[in-house]
Amino acid sequence: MKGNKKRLIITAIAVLAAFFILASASASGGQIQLDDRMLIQGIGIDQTEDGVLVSVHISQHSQTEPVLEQVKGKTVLAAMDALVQRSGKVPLYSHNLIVVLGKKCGEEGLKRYMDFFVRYYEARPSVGMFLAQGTAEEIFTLKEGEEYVKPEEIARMGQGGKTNGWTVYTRVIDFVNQLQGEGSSPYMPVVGVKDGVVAVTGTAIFQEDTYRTTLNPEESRILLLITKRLTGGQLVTELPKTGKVTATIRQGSAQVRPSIEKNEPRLDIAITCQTEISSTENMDLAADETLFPQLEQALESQLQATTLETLKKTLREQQADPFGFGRQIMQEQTAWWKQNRENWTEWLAKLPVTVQVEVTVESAG
Amino acid sequence: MNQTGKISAGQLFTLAFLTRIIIMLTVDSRVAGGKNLQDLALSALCYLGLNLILILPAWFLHRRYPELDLLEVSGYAFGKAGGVIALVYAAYFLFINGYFFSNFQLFMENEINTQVPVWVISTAVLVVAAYGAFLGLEAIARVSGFVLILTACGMIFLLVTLNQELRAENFTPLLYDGPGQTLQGTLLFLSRSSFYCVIPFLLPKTQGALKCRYLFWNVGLCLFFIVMIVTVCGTLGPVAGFQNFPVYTMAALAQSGPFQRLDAIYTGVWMMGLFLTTALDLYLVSMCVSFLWGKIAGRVAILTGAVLLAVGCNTFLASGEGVAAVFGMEIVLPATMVTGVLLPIVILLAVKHKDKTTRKKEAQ
Repeated sequence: MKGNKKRLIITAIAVLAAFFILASASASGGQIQLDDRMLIQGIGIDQTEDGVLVSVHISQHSQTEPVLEQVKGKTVLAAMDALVQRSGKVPLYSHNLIVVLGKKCGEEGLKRYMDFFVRYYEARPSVGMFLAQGTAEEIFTLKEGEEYVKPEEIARMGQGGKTNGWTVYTRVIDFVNQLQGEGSSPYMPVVGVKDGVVAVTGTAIFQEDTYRTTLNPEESRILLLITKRLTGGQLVTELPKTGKVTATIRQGSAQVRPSIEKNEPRLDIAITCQTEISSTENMDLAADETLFPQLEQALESQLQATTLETLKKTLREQQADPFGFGRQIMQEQTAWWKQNRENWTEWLAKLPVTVQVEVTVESAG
Repeated sequence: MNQTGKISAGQLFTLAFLTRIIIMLTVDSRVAGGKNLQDLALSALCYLGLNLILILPAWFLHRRYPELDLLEVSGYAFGKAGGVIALVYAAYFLFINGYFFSNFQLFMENEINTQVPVWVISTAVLVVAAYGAFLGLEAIARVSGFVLILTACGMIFLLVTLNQELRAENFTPLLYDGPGQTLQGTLLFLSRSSFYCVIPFLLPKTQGALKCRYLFWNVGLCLFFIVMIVTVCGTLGPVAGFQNFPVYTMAALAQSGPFQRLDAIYTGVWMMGLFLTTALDLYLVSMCVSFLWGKIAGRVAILTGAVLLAVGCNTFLASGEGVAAVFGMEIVLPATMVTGVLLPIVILLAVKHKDKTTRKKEAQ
């Protein structure tokens, strides 16, 4: 009886406490209604004289196409405050899919724009990053037909490299890691307007946070190959007997072996590619497997030339290391790295690199 | 002591595991002493070794008096002065719980930025924890079994989905900046090991294969820490070094099909661990107070403790500066080591001396 009374009192206290907590939670305002929210799907940032121009694609729950808003401010968040002043809605950044930075931002240095996407509690580190060929405004204001290009379409373009092997995919976290980590230089896809349509046109290479150069699609493939991110794409070569031959990359990889000789680093890169013939101009190719070694040799020469050209463009001309060679040396030759890391960009200009390429043509498709 | 009110060794160490994982969930470069969080894997190994040694005073006490908890033994050793020890432990349990609770509040304010006031959420957790403490050790231990399944499922799902995010280039060599961070990490883990203080209270209430389970728990905890650290470092890379809650950021990257941004799992696991820790600590506070002033006072102490935690965590501990001032390593580590290791040694030596004196008197 006494035990039952005690249990009853405790239960009554628990129910009262629960009621109090629920009432307090509701009285404080509770959740913000969806109509009072700005669901931000894409953010574009361009540098202006006084600060930034922020172009934003906002998703409305009653409409399928995004709405464009543009605001200026001293910083990104300050600009967004101006947007709130205009609409009265609370921005929701957690569904943001892409960040597009104008080329001028890249030339001046991206660090001042990146902190928001790393520090702000709602910003997600998995958001895709792009550098605009011109301005971010161009990308966000372009209409294909009646509608703006949707941020999810641009995000999808960034992932197209899985199929075509020409496009790198960089998230905020990847960019910041490449920037903050020792022995690597950041890179991100370049997005531009081509024939009235938004497309990824190459890869922007940075030294520190400053834009230096753009790799074309073939060179971007080499970047993907050496960083072990290549999962597809086509190689095209031509032989007198076969005409143009398209070989699909089934598997591509690179082994990078750093070594130290006489206190100087060197790199040996071994690239392997397994391909299969997808199309030719000569349908008899299938019957003549003696042509395969010639094809393999042609593809190897082509890949080797492109690799050396890409390495020259990045390491030698720009002293940028998007491949992370420095990072690999840090992991494998730590003692040497600790002594020489301050001068790594100088080492890049004269780093001896040997490239060996092996291409296997596996079947006639 | 009769058999009712006893828990199994499995339940004890399930409770121990769940209350310890919040150590890992709340680590960051500021408290870990540097940006190379990978070195905490070595700290976890050192912690494993130290756990096997530092628990010995409590173990020897238990072996000498298997049916008496630490307060009863100290009462035997020191007489009425043993009450001071009860007060010391009660204060410690509230202190360490305030540490964990204030960290949770800071997380809710800075990372979640909830629309509901944080004090409402923390009050809810405290009310539930106080209720759990009222119900007693058996109830808390039974809940821990259920929570373990939920936690294990959540963490495994998180780790499996994060497997694809691991990048070789994100790792730095171990001891890259020297052994300092490993040492700092070990001290951090030790400072948060309130279980050294909990064990001497709960061992007499536990039945089963204690040595075997303790070893299993230790190894399991160490493996959990190492797996978490490797996953955090492998997925986040250098970014982990400047996140307030890197494990939370890591969870935000997890995705599997339609399940994306699984940071809610992190929050859920933390809250469950915090609930168990708070309930257990409030229960132990009531044990200390009951030892001094009786059962009713012990019950009142649960409510008082919960109120003190609520008030403290929402006033002077509501800011990062307040937390750093009160819960700096230089305060928490000595507090844990004194109450968890030194006091059991002192009590053990005192009872040995008392037993020796008693035997001499009896011989005469």
